[in-house]
Amino acid sequence: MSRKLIISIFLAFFALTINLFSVTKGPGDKVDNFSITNYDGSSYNLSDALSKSDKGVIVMFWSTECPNVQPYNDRINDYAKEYISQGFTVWAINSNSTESTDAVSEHAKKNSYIFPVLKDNNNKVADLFGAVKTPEVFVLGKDNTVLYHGRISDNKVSSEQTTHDLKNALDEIAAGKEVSVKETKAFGCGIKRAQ
Amino acid sequence: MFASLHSQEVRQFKSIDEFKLIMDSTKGKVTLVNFWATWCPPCVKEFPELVKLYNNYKDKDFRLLFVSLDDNTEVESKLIPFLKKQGVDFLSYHADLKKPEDLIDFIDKSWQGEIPYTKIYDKEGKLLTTFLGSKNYEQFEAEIKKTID
Repeated sequence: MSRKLIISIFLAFFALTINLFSVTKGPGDKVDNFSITNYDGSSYNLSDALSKSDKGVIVMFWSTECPNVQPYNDRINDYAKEYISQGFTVWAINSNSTESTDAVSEHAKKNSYIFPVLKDNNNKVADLFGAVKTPEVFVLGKDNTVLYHGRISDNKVSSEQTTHDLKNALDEIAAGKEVSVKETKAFGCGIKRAQ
Repeated sequence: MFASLHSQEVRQFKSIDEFKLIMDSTKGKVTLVNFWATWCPPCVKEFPELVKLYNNYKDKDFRLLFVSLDDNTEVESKLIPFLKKQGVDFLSYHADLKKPEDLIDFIDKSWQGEIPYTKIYDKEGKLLTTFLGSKNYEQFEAEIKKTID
């Protein structure tokens, strides 16, 4: 077996191992910098966004199809408007290999999102966060540390929400307080990663 | 013990204690627990594979627990019609919990709640394997065959 072939096999195994052991970032963990290009060609860079935002960056793993995401379309723009005005940057990221860039673009236009929806080809950004489902939210502080990770609220149906976990966390961050509930869980659609 | 029993043999559990009793009742059989919902396309995709697995192994100390995470309001309108269409003629379950995250933490604290999600336990209740995401018949059967001849 040639040395080149052995190195290739080792690298392939190493890459597979990294993918298998991609751990979800939780409160206190730092997220590596990344750049991602929007469907309109605009480029977005995490470090740039953090330096320009007064409070931090909200990253929402999103889907054009997941029935646990769609009910939030009736209020996600209001949330974004409220917290962008308080100094946060809001990004949605679509990492599903089964949802095309065109579908992401159409879905964003249809819902008149006021935040960019970034197509994450080969789920590189999802792997950086260890994101596994939609919707799944990470709020990063100015030093790229995760301040909140989890759900938007305890119920996708607006009228049935009893706890507003994301809003609570953002209000505390905006007020300069420590987030009291830093991590929450909920059922969601698994992110369909590239094979 | 159970909140209700629907005509299509769907039992709802309202607490983790009720779910523990269900899990305890599986001891003595190799048990596959599949968390799913009718709103989850990959869950729907793998569902017939699991029904086929059940039919091929039901006489060999094998038990399949479908645990639906559908909304309570969709049990009659979506869940039961789906089970009928899939030919499920055995008891399955629906989680009707006030705090679904309790179920996530009870099953596995590292689970983030993404579905489909499958656990396979041996006859003593020891965890054999966890499947994240949609799988096919061959993948499920390969695990079952390790403990059932």
